[in-house]
Amino acid sequence: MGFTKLFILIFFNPFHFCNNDTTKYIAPDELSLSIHQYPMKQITEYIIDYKSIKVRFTNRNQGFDSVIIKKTVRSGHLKKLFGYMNSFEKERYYNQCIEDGQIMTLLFTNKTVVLKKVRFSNYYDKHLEQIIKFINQHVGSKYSILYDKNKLISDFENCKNQ
Amino acid sequence: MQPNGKTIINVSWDNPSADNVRERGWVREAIKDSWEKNTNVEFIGWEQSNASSTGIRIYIQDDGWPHTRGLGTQIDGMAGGMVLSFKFLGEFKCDGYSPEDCIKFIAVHEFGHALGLAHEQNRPDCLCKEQPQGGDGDFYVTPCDINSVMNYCNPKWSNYGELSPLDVSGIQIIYGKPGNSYVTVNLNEIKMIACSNASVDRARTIKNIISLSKSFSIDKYTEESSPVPQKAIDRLHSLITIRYFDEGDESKAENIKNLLALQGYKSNDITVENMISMMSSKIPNYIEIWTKEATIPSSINLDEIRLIPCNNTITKINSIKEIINNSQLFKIKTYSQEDKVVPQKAIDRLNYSITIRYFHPDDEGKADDLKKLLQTTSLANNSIIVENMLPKMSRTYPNYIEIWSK
Repeated sequence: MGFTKLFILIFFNPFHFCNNDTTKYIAPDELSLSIHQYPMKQITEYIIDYKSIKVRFTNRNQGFDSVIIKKTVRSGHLKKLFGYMNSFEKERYYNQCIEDGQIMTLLFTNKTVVLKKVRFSNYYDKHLEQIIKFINQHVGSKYSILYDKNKLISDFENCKNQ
Repeated sequence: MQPNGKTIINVSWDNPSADNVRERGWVREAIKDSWEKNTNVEFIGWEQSNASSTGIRIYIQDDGWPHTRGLGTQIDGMAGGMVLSFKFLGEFKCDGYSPEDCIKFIAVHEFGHALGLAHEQNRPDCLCKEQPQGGDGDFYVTPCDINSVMNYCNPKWSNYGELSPLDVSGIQIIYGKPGNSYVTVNLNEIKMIACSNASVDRARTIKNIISLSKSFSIDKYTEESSPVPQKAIDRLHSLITIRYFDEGDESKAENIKNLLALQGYKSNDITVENMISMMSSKIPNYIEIWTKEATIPSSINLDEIRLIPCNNTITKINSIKEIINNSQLFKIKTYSQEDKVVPQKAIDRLNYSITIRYFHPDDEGKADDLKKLLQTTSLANNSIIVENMLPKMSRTYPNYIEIWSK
């Protein structure tokens, strides 16, 4: 096969890796942090975009879904916050010794397309802590998230020794 | 453990107070009506813990997350081994249910962990959309149970505090039936004969079921290590064949069949065979259990899987293909393989050892199932990710999946 034919084949093959090579980095324009209340089927979701932060509560058993609060945010910090997407290399960070407990899913999206989804299960992560700090600064004490760094780290260390 | 086979577990409260007497009563009531009612376990004590307290120690944290810090004996005597919330003052809310229901349903679930049960959705055979959480446990005692109090995928969360039939039979395998009326079956030996690698797990699960049952006393278990000839496999009419070699063991073989049926195995899949006429002499107190795989109709269909080995990972990609081929869950029309050298740029974008890419929304579940399948095999040590390629494509490609290895 000549070079030209090969080029055409590669260019028009939608599945070929070369096509993926031309993909540009897509920056997130929204992040959401879902807090799962396992074993219950309830989720409290904190959704941040360049305009606002929303807190949404979903009860999957009883089929209701409501936005509890919506507040404007200072967009200056958001680029840094969204930039944390690349710091999460794994899709799951967890302490396997804890059954249930604090389980969160972090989702980075662009125009509803999911760019990255990371699950944290009773796990301390410094970038997640920054995201939670930002949320807590905006939502007030009633909806703030308790992220106990010392306990999470000590539980993780205890687990390694078990 | 008491002489009558009853398991006694001490329960104590690390920080009880006068204003939560009612809630503590709800927990005790829920446990009495679920685990205690259905198995040969008694939870005693329920008083304030001290430094020497053994068993389950419960810490009440009203702004905390219900959890246990391990499974079964891992939390024996551990301060705060179980944490419960009564007022739901933190992010963990009790909305849409009465506080009594929330406290009871959650207590039943957490006590399941204290009895040693892991989350049901962690099992790869559950094909449940919820992610695994916590420890995986050591073995299975029933088929996957969507209705289990331990399954996040149960549409009725914590099965509303009521043990499912399989929860009951599973916990009875481990702790026995309430009231303890064991009929002991004695055997010198049970030989497990798995007809293929795929049926080894089934053989071991059956062995665990029998060895955990307080109704059976087996001196030794042995396993057939040499390959089983195809002729012998062809003679097996069921997935599980229990063979006895002495008239006195017929009822024992039937008892094993009944035990397995209680654990959810279909009676049609189990045959008890009298082997006396085929033997030159009888072998008393000896039973063989043969397991083979069924030809299950494939339930997950794909038109094409494209295999893309990077950095000389042909062996790995061949293993992946073989695993999928051997799995009776998947029906793949075509496998294609990339034979060109993958550019370094494309390899650099792979953060995981195995990347499964899908190109149509309907194929996300299939990609997840492939991942779960690989995680149950010798490739489980590899990091595996499922990637949604839709944002990068101008159109969708249904029933097509790529698997990249590096």
